[in-house]
Amino acid sequence: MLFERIRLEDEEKILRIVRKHWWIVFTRSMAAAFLAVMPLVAVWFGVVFFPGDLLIEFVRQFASELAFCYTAWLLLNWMLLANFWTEHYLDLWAITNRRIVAIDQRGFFNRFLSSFRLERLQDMNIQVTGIIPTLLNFGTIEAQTAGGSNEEFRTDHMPDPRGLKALIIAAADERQRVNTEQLLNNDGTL
Amino acid sequence: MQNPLTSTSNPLADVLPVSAFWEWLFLLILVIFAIHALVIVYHWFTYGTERAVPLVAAAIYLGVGGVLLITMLTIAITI
Repeated sequence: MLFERIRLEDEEKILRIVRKHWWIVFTRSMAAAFLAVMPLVAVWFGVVFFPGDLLIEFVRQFASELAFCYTAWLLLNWMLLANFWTEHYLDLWAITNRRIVAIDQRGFFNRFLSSFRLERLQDMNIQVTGIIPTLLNFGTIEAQTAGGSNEEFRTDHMPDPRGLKALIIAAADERQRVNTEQLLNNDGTL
Repeated sequence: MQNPLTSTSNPLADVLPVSAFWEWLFLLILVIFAIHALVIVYHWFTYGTERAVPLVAAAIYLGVGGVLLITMLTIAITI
């Protein structure tokens, strides 16, 4: 599983695992469902708007062949739906008390994993644009880090971006406090 | 003995009868689905965050896929 591969450090705890908002996978699933019923709708339109025996006769004559093709079409859409869900399930941010691991699944065999330690966090930006993101509370979250490109720490469609920002900043502050205490304990001076 | 050059039969139909075409097509779709299932289930179990979710997902994915494939096989045999 994932955390066996990431290898958490000693005393590193996972605070939260965040995946993209359910609305994204829902809209994609609806698109797949729409594609699945499209052939039936097309035949229904044909029968209603082009009356005559030609289409009905064709469907009757090749009923088995058409049923085979339609079942294959359903299977194709089922595979498409599984791809959408896989992308949703594997695309995540893992927030621990020491770092943030951002995983971007860009299709099979194309996976981008980046992480930064909370000490490097400089600022966090969130952006909620549009009616549906505002109503359902999801948006873009971006982490700016010291000394590195922040491109890989930008993810769209994250749920509750304000809450997520507050959690990460609180974890970074806590990390800072622990580091300061350790320094004091080691030397007695700052 | 019949001269093959003067034969009027369709050589493709001899090799692949119409009824066999649908069975071969089914076999091709079965292979594609099996490879896809192997790759996708591998990803779920390798990069997933917990073990229960990929287990349930694999059962649903293979179950529904299996029902669709059995339906296709039944139709392919009857054509």
